[in-house]
Amino acid sequence: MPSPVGRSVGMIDADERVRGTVAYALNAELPGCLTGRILRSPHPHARLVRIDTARAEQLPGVIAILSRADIVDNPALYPYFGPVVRDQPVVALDKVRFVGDPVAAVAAVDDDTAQQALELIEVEYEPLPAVFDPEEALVPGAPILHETFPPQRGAMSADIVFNPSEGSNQLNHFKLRKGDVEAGFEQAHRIFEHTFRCPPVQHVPLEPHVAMALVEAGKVTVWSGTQTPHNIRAQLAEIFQLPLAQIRVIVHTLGGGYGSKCYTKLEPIGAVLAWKARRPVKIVLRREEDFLTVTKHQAVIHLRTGVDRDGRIVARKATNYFNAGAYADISPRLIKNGGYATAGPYRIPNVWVDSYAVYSNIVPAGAFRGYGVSQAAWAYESQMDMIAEALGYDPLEYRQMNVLHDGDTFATGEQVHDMHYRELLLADAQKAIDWRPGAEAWWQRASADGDRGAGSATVSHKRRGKAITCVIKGSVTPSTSSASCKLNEDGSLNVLTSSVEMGQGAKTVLAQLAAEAAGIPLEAITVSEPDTDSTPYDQQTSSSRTTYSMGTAVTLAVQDVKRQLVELAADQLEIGPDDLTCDEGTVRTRDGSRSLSYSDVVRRSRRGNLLGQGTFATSGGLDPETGQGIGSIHWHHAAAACEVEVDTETGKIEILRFHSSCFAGRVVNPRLAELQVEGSTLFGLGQSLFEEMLYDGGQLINANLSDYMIPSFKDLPGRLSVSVLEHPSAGEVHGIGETSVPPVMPCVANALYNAVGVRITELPLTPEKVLAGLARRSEAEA
Amino acid sequence: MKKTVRLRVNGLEQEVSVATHHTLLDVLRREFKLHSVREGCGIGMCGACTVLVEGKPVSSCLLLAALAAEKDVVTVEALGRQGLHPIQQAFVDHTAFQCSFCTPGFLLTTKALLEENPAPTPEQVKAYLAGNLCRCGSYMKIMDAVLDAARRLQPANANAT
Amino acid sequence: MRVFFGMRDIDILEPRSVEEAVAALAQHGDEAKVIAGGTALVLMLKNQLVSPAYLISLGRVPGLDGVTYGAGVGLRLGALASIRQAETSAVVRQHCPTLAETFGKVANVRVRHAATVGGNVSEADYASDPPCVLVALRARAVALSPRGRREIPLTEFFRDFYETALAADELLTEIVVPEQPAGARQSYLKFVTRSSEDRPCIGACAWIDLDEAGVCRELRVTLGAVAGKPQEFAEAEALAAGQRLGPDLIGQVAQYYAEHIDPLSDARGSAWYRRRMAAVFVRRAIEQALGAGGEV
Repeated sequence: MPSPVGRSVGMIDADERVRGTVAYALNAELPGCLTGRILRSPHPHARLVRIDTARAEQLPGVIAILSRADIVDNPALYPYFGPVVRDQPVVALDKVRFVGDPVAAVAAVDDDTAQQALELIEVEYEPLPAVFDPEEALVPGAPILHETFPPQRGAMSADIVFNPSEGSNQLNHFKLRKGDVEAGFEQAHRIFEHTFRCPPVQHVPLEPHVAMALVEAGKVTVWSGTQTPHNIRAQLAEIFQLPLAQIRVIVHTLGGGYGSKCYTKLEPIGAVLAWKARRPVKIVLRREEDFLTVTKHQAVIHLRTGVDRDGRIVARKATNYFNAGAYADISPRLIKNGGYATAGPYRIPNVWVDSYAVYSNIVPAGAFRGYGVSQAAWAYESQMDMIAEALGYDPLEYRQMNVLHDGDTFATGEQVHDMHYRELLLADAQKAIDWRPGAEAWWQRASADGDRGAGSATVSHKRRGKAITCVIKGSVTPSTSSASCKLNEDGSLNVLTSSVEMGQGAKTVLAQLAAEAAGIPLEAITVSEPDTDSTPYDQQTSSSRTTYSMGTAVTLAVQDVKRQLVELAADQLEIGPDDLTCDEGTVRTRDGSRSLSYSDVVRRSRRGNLLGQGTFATSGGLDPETGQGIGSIHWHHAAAACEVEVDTETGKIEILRFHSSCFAGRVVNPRLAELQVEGSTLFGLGQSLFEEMLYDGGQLINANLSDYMIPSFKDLPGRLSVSVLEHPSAGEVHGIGETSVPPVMPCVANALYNAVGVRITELPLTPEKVLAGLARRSEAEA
Repeated sequence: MKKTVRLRVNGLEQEVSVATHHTLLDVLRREFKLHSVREGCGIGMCGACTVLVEGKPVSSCLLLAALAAEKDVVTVEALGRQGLHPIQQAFVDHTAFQCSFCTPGFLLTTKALLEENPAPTPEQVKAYLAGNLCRCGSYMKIMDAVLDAARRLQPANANAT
Repeated sequence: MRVFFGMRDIDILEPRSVEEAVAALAQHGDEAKVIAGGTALVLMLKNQLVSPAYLISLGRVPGLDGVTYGAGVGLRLGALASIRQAETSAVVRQHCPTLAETFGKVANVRVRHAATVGGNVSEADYASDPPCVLVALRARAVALSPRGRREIPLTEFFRDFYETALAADELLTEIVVPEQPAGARQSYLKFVTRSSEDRPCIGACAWIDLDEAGVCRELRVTLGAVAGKPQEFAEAEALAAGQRLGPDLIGQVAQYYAEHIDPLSDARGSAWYRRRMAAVFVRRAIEQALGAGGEV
């Protein structure tokens, strides 16, 4: 039977997607369910002096109001959560730490009543000095967000080294020490130092965060749009001090995630409110509130790079400040990925990285498609073009000269394999935009284009430029995925998995892999949605790991069933198991003389069904002092190429063509892979050109889709193309969910420079910044 | 303040009591359980709550339910009652979605587009659909699906519904 | 933080004629808001920027949705004509294609289907596209009240951010775009700095009346989205009267606008940037109106 793997089969749940019947958490309903709404802090940093909920409680239709009064000194509840350090209270206890920090929550019979009740809650604050910038937050004397950590419960993930600095806003510090960086700089012929900045941006999943909770008979059940059901279960078990088995997390298809729905967000406040109300409660965030829930990390990256006389990079020192916002969330891990990533996909013998997560009084930052690598790549890929120009190299050739080869050691000291930058990725990118090495610099074409920047309409004021970038990205390591399956007596197969379907096509891809392993048609397979009461453990649906990790676990589970199937068939046919093969839903003797369908085998066995189990766990980890070790089970890599046209009178950048090349090892579903890479590219283009959360004194001032823009149909590049590249030698599937985000932003910035000679080191590349850069250029020239 | 309103949704008339400040989006979800209509932004920017009113796409988050009385309101639930509508089928065949939260809005807007302009150019498709946002970035495949749907509807265009 | 409050206790009135609508408005005046397409007003209600006790819906008022042309009168756009209707109307396209295109630049197709011409003008949104062009065309608003009918030139109609010359009891019924001189030509450029779906950083309309010899009889230039209402400078326009619009003269006009506007600053562009863009887009709009190959 031909395997469905490698084919562009449509999504197995496509029908419900076009009928509008997908069971998003947004649509979840329970009889008697109340509407929950959250009262949020108007202050970036303040002491909570008094909360009076009495008037609100008297409003007809209000069932429960949750505030610190329910939590403080309540032995039944542990009031904190957080995937690494439990620093975030269910509702504010003593202080609020950002504008939007939950202070109280109301459960009422309908939304209008809940809303009215919020207005009746009286809160008295004592404003405290606040700090918003990560570098300012580390200056001695800066206002401190978390004076101490609360007593901790539970464990943190194995790969995280937690290295906080008590009494400061330094939440965590990742260190990487490879070789001797000072010796490296001493032997350098030139040293380049630059600082790069990128703002916080938001994921904007069109389905906002949603949680519905029911606390009944000692059991907590939560329906949530989350990417991490088992993490939610563990955190709720801590809060309610119940065994894991008493917490049930049910997840339906998500209306977009992109990292925003990793780890506890709304679930604690929703579940504790339901506990107080003794009725089911559902909270759906409004768009404004979603902006106040999680963001991409604002970052400042200082990059010092030494090169020798031959242009080879011999030393790099990076100091990265990631703005964690008010609570830790996953920042302690993210700074690791965003730390080692600063070395880029280059052979650098001496690397020193200090990567910091810093608390400040803005919206907490968390996982965001690209996961720290976007911030790092923004810095190092911008700087690569700056160095190439200063040394007189073509930017593409300069990358080819320095890029990692098979068998090289990465910044983490581990040997890298399956590296395909030169012959696959960069070659593909070069071809896509007809890059001519040595002939693409802006000053080489300026004279041909005519008089630069002239004001008259008779002389073109448009300039074109091109660029090529490449990045390397890890996937969370170590990590664990477990799956099980049920072969039913009609020969159909249930795959039980806690991987979350969020539009990436997880169900479809896992079904394809299961079908291949089982030797049955795709139509005979059903893939579950996560339900922690019944689906096995999975660490997370993120980090581009599902197809590889869960795909492997599912394959192992199916193989487990097949082993049992063959053993049973061997008994039933009275033949040795080695003489049997499985395909097309049938167990056959090797000579083809006798056969039993899977269905026959299961029926005759009288087991009802056959249960298979598979677990895939990767190992690795980095040394806490040196960052050396195994950073990733394998390394994801991608390149980007683009051509832009810049209007020198307005500074506006138009993307004429954009090409993303992503290495996939082995592609399970080409069309779904293309969608991921196209989506990643658009994610990157939005961040390149206009996405930015704007704060004024800690107040987020553009928390809606009119003031915060995301790319529209008309924002597509003139031509957008993607390559999802395979290599015959690559046996493994490489995740491709986010690898193509990080190369986009520096690619556009480098193409802008290539067009008009303006270097911008702070995203986004707004027309105003470009025009200001052009004005500075012409002043300097004059 | 409550008001009794007679709404005609997907061909069915129903009297509902609505607060005067409730939007058609609120009422379609709460009273009619039409979950294809979704709030993405609440300000008419994203198109996830698109419905057809008198055949024209509008944002149901910006339309007071009381003012939709006696108008024909159509949601995706009305499409493809027997098998998929050709536009739905084209979206399936091209996998013109990822998370699909925006898909009903795209389908209805495409329906209105193809009724106004049965053979749009890619530029016309972009212009008409630019107000429907897809954060997953499936626009390339959506373009393929819309152009394909236009071809599929061509011969039967006169009686396409 | 801006908090979304619910809307409460609003009574919806649905007059069946213009007279009933005028009477309802006269009766409730300050406590009432007129609602037609509702795309702007519902947003304001959601944000509690307005909190009327009554909404006077024009949904059942007949006769206000025509888009017609009359020789010697010009275009008559009924207040209840949708923006989309004005955009696609054959008579608007024939007699003033720039105006049709401008209506086509408003928001997205959903909003254009729901929103009305009258609603657009009476909202007086500083960043909306049509007001700028309608001012340059010297359109007039027709308003009815118990005191009678009055015509208000749009040059006087827009007062400031979301403020108009309409009295509390006046109902906008029609926009009249007068017949344009045979030699008149226009252009409107909408410049966005972020997504294609963004509101403009600047909108620029140029209206030029040329004689047979190509000499400018009259020039009008209006800028939108830079201040509380469309910006127009007669002194700069006067420079062009009786002149040929060559690059130097166009440059002088553009420079005058750039120097004399008092631009706002927001995420779409700082005052510094908007001033620079005023110079660029005044020039480009004039060039485009002249058909001189100006670029959008």
